[in-house]
This record gives sequence, C-alpha cells and structure tokens, in this order.
Amino acid sequence: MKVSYNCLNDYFQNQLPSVEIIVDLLINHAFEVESVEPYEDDFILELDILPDRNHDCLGHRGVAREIGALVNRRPIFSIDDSLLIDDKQKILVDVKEPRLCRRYLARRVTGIKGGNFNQLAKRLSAVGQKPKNSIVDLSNYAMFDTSQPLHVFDADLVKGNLVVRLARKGESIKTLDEQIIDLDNSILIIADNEGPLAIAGVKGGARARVSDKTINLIIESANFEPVNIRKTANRLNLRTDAVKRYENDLSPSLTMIGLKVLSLLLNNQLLSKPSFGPVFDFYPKPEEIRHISVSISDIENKLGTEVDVATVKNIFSRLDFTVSEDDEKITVSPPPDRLDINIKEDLIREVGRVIGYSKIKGCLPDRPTDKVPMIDKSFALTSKIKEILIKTGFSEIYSYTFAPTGDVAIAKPLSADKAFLRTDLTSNLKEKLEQNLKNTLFDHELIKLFEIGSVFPADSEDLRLAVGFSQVAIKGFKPDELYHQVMADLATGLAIEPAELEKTKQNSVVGNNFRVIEFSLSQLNNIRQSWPKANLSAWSKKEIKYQPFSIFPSIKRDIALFVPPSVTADDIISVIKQNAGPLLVSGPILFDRFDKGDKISYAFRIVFQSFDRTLSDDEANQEMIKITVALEKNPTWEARK
Amino acid sequence: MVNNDHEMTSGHLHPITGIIAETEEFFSTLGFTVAQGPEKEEEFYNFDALNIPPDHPARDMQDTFWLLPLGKKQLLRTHTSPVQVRFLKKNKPPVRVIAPGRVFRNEATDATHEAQFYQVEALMVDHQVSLAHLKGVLEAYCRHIFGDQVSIRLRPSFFSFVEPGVEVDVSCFKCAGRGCSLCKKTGWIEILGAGLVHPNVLKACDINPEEWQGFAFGLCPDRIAMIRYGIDDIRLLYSGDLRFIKQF
Repeated sequence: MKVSYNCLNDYFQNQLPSVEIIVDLLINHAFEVESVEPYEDDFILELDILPDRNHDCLGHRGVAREIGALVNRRPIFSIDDSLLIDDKQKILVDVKEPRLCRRYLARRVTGIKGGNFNQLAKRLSAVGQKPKNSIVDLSNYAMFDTSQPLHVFDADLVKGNLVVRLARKGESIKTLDEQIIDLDNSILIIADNEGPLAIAGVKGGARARVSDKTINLIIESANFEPVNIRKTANRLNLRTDAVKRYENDLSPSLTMIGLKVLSLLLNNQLLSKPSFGPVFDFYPKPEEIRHISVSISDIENKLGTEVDVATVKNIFSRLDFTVSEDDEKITVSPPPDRLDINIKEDLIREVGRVIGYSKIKGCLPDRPTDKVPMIDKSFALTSKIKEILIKTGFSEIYSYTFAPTGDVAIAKPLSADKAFLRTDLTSNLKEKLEQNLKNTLFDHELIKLFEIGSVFPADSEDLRLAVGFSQVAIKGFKPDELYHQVMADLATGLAIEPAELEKTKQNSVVGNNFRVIEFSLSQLNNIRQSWPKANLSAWSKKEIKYQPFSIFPSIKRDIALFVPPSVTADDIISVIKQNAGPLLVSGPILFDRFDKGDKISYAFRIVFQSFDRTLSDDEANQEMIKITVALEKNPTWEARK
Repeated sequence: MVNNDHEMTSGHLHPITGIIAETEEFFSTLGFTVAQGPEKEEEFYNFDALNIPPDHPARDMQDTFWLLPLGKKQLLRTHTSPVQVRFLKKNKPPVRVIAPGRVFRNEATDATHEAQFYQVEALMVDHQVSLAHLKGVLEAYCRHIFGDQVSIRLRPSFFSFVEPGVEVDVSCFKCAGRGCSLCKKTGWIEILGAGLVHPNVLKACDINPEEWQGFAFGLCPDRIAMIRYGIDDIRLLYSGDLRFIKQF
C-alpha cells in the first residue's frame, strides 16, 4: 500500500523524524517498506503490510498510529463532527442478511455543489489514485485515511428504500465501468425497488452512480463479512480497493469513523456547505471489547530476554491499548481495529517487535543428552547412493515434477506440457542425456547422469533413482559393461547383493548410444534396517563462484602440428591461449600424439563461442588463422593442414 | 591415442544437494535429525493444521497446485511445514527435526521464481524454546554456510503457523554491509522465514501449548545456493545442464 509521508505528518503536532528514520523504524519493528519515492514536496512509501495488519494498516491513520508507537508520540485522530444535522433527511435501510452485513451506516447529504480541492487531489494522485469526480474522490480519500471503504449513491436515482439482500437468480447489474454481471443468490447486493444498485463491498453499479450533476447523496459506510466478499470477488474477478480491505476483515467500529471523516470532507471541501441527515445505524451485534492477559514470565520465556513491567506497560500504551495490571498479569484491551491481537502470543510479539528483535541476544539450546537421534532411513539411503554415484563419475541433475502425461492431473497447470505429475524419471533423464551430448567435445566422451526424486504413478508416491549414460559415438559404447559396473558399485557401496537391487528395477531402456535404468528406492529402503553412512557435505563446494555460460552454439576446431621433441604440449597450449581471442571458451585439449621421425605430432581441440551471438564459420576461421600464424612464428613448428 | 578417459574422474553433486547436506551436517551437531513427508499432500496438513483457515487471504501467499479430482483435496505441498505436523502427530516432544524436500507454487517462472523449489523446514519443540534460541541457532547456521564474518537480523513478519513470526536477513558477505547489487544496496539479504510455533499448531498435534513451546523455520536451499555461488537464474538448477552442474 502507498502512503504519503506528508499525510502521516498531519496527524502529529510536531514534524516526524526524517523519512529515512521512519522507514528504518518500520522495517525493523513493523513491516516491510518496498520503496520510497520522492513526489513533489512529499515522499511516497510503498508498504508491504503483513497479512495480520491488513485489518488496521490499510489506511493512513493505522500507519500513523503504528509510527506513533515507534517514535513514542501520540497522533491526533479527533474528528470535528459538529455538523448541522437536518432531522428531516432521515433514511432507512432494510438489512436482510445480518450475517453477511454486520453493520450498515447510511446518511443523506443534500445540496451538493462541486468542489475544488487541489491539495486532496494531489494527495490522491500521490498514492496512485486517478482523480475522477469530486464526490468519488472525497470518498476514496476518506478510505485511504481511515481504511474504511465508503460508497456513495446519487440519492435522486435511488427508487424507494435501500435494501441489503442476496441477489436473485436472473438479476444482473451494470457496474461503474459498464460491465454487465449476472448475479445469483450467493452474492450480497445493495438494491432499491427497481433492483441491484451495487455488489455489496465489491463494486458499485452504474444506475445510481454519482456524477457532476449529483445534488443529493446517500453515503454508505458498511461492514461486510470477509469470506463472502472474498468468494464473490474471486468468482467475479473483481479486485477492488474495497475488496482488499473487506476480505482481510475490518472492525465494524471503523464504519463510524469513515462516515464522519467523509461527512467532514463534504462539509469543508465543497463550494457550498451541504445539509446532512442523521446517521442510520444497523448494528445488531456490537463488537465486544477484548481483554487479553500476559505475564512478564510468559514474555521472558518466549522472547528469551529480560523485560520489566514498566517497559511492557509503556509499549502497550504507546500502541493505544488500555492497560491494567494485577499481581501476576498485565491485561490489555487493544483498539477495536487491531483484530490481530487475540491471544497472549500476540502480545508477546508486540513487546518483542517494539523493543526490537535486535535487542534479543542469540544463544544455542543445550544439546539433548537423553535422546538417541533417530536416523531417517530414506535420507540415509539417498545420501549414500549420491555419494557412490558421484565417486564413480556420475553427475546429479534435478528435473521437473511436471510432465505432459501421467496418472495424476493438475487442476490449473502452468502449461499443457506440465499438466500431470511425472510417473517416471527415465524419460527426463534420457532427454537430458541427449541435450548434454550436444555440448561434448569428443564423440567418445561419456555423459553420466543420475536423478533421485519422487514420481506419482496412480495413487502412490514412489521415490526413484534413475541412472543413465550416453555418448555420441556408437562405436566403442559398452552399455552392458557399464551397466554391470553401476550395479556392482551401488551394491558394494550399499552392502547389498546386486540381485536385491535388481529386484527394485522399474525401467531399463537401452539404445545404440545410451542406457537408462530406474529403481524404486521406496522398495529398496525396505530391505535393510539401516544404511552405511555417507559424508555428502564433503562433496559440496564451498568457495567457488558460478561462471555463466553462453547459450549460443559453439564451434569446435582441431589444430595439429609437428614439433621437435624438446617442445612439450604445454608449450603449445600456452601459445594457443595467448593468441586466441576471448571467443575461446574451452580447450586446447590434447587428443592425439604420435612420433614421426624426429618430430612429434600433437593434435588439440578448441571451442569458440560468443556470449551474445551465434558465431559464423568465418569468425572461427579468422581465430584459427591468428593461432596458426602465431604457432608458425617458431620456425621448427609446422602446422598440419 | 591420448587417454581422455573421463570415466575415472568423479562426478558432480547438485548444488541444492550440497546445501542440504551442509545444512544437515550443521543441525546434526545440535541434535536435529531428518524427517520427511510426501510431496503430494493433503489440504489438512498443508493448510488447516497450520492455522491457515479456508478462504483466508493468507492462502493467497502460496499459490497452490491443486490435484484432480478436486474432491480428494490433494495438492502439491506449498511448503515443507506439513512435515512438522506429521512428525508431531507421531512423536512426543521434545523434538528436533529438519525436513528437506521439494515444494511447489503455482506462479509464473522467471530468473528468480520457479514453480518448484526446495525447502528445509526445521522444528524444535521443548519445555522452553525462545526467540533467543532461534536467533542463536540461525546465527550459527548462517556462519556455517556464509562464513564467520556474517551476522543476522530478525524483522517482524507473518506466517499463520508461528507467532511471533520473523523474517531473517543475513548481512551481505559480498560488500560487508556497505551496499552492493547482491543486497540491493541495503547491506542485508533476506534468507528465510521463522518464528515460534503457534499454539494452534501444537493443539492440532495434540500437544499442550502451556507445557511445550517451539521454534520453526523454513529456508530455501535454492536461494542459499544462488546467493552463495552467484547463480543468476533459478531455472539453471532444474536445467539438467552439465555446463552448469559441472561447476559444482
């Protein structure tokens, strides 16, 4: 929510501390401040109000009260309501659904003439509201001030009395933005003799909307039950400022404050003073005052720091709680709109955050002595398998749980190819083998991958292991040999028989140049009471920095040359590295060496790649020429062409 | 022919596995053991038992993948916190557990958001467990992971299943608090949410909150790996790309 620093300041007799200090206080003691932007002579704070403070802090008054508590200054919220009341302007509202409409205030205001209020309009724009119409702007202003949503009807367009009732099947409403919405009997509406005027607490209708021609008004300041508001708003996809406040639950006490603030604005900000009717107030079940008790030892036990009675009482009264104390307990009553304060833990939180969590000194709990730690067998098994496979050259991948087909479907998937839960790991692993083959330097380079993860066949959840290997060259690929090696390594490492592992096999796919095997670890886990211990954290790299790699295709080139026996491969590598430009990303890697007469032949592979484009053959050739020229500067070195 | 035999060299551990292993190693020294729970979870454990009522805006904080048929009220767990409940329903306190695992959020993906990621939930319940213990444990953990020079701060936050709830920041180890791109010039990096277990959660597990109290927190190994190694895109973690994995 956006709040204006100047507006907050208006509630205090003396200027508040600087905006930087306020932001720092809010972050450390109340809630997050997403950003602070200068706006003309003001600052706009974007606050990320915590869900439990959406009851009281979605208006400037709530935020000002919070800041007041933190700077230990009391904001002034008095409302001058010495309006002249015209008793003839009475209004009656028939509330048929007291469960969904917990309080309904209404008042007639007559003799409206357009207003001119630059200052208020500026503040509305500052918190992101487009000025619309003087009356609507004032009611929005009152909402941003008090948190209480307010609605205004053009009284001359209302036919008969207002009724708060459930809509009837077949009824529809045209909203303020000219959208036609079909209603049903789960939706609470405000209606007159002719039908719906507004979707209660969600959105106003077009029929009795105020315009620049409006002379007479009806103000609505109501309290609606949050769950119904939320369901209606979600179903109709109407996310309004009013919905945001109502769905979080507001105190019915705010309705009177909102109504008074709006009345006063109408009285003071318009070109001529309108006439006000008495307030109609439907409020069958008034809120009860809450009394919550906490002891100093409760607070100290939970915060883990010492506090004294005077500090605690001071914090509560700064928060505008009424405080009383008997021998053991401090009992408070929070302001009615602090709906987040219900149990003693809430009070402990208030003390903790106002003191500041930085004042709590961390300490480690004592080590338990009487309990033998239980080992999670499945975690031990997966850890051991990971260790065995890493040691034998396999790298671990994580892929997605989502799959294009499967037995369990997702209600609202991210996309059609992620509409189900995976039923195996094999398909993904096979795909990843293929993908990684594209980045190999040599055709006989073996890619070895594994994944451990849950799969979801029909009604179960099964922990699986998939192991796979692949290489580009079909010639020299020995899947059976490798397969037996993996089985043997796993069996030895886990201290089981290969046959026991074999029994848990779920899938085995083999092709010309790949093989993937999948096991059920849920099954395997059952065959032993314990598993050998792994030391996986030893394999976790602690000091490295990730180096981004290019997503553009690379170009492989080979370079071979004859040199005298006194020249080493490293000599050649260093010349290549010095003369290759920044496009060299991998290599030179020596892949061939033989003697021929008094010379030795070396062959290297190098890879060129750009971070920002697909390289052309031409660019790679240019690089190769540069390297070859540099190599041949040594008269005894002879590049083979 | 030169022997370019890559078979004998060791492979690479996924960085998330690495962070989880280091986390488990640290917490085992404090007497914590591992607990696990299902990824396909019931609404009760994921929400109701964690003090998140139906049709409550707090459920919006965790966009959920519901599974069909909807009548079964099954979902992909949105956090590892349900393991707390499952564990406490089976085991009497005192308990010290960590629960690593995969979680899911139904949200559009980008460089910093994934629809799946990992969490490690930690739970300690005993006769007297305070915010000071939580702070001490997290301070020691952050130093284990990021180095001895870091400190932490706790800020007010809200999670239905704890009270008080806090957000935990670690001081920026890259700029030592002076302000850099990693910490968005604040000197602090947000790393996890925590708090003291809400009495309603203990009650839902048939534990008397007047007798027992506890702390819980949930950290995201993906995020810790990204911060520690300077990984700029979370999706790399799930790419299965050896150009990435081989760096770890």
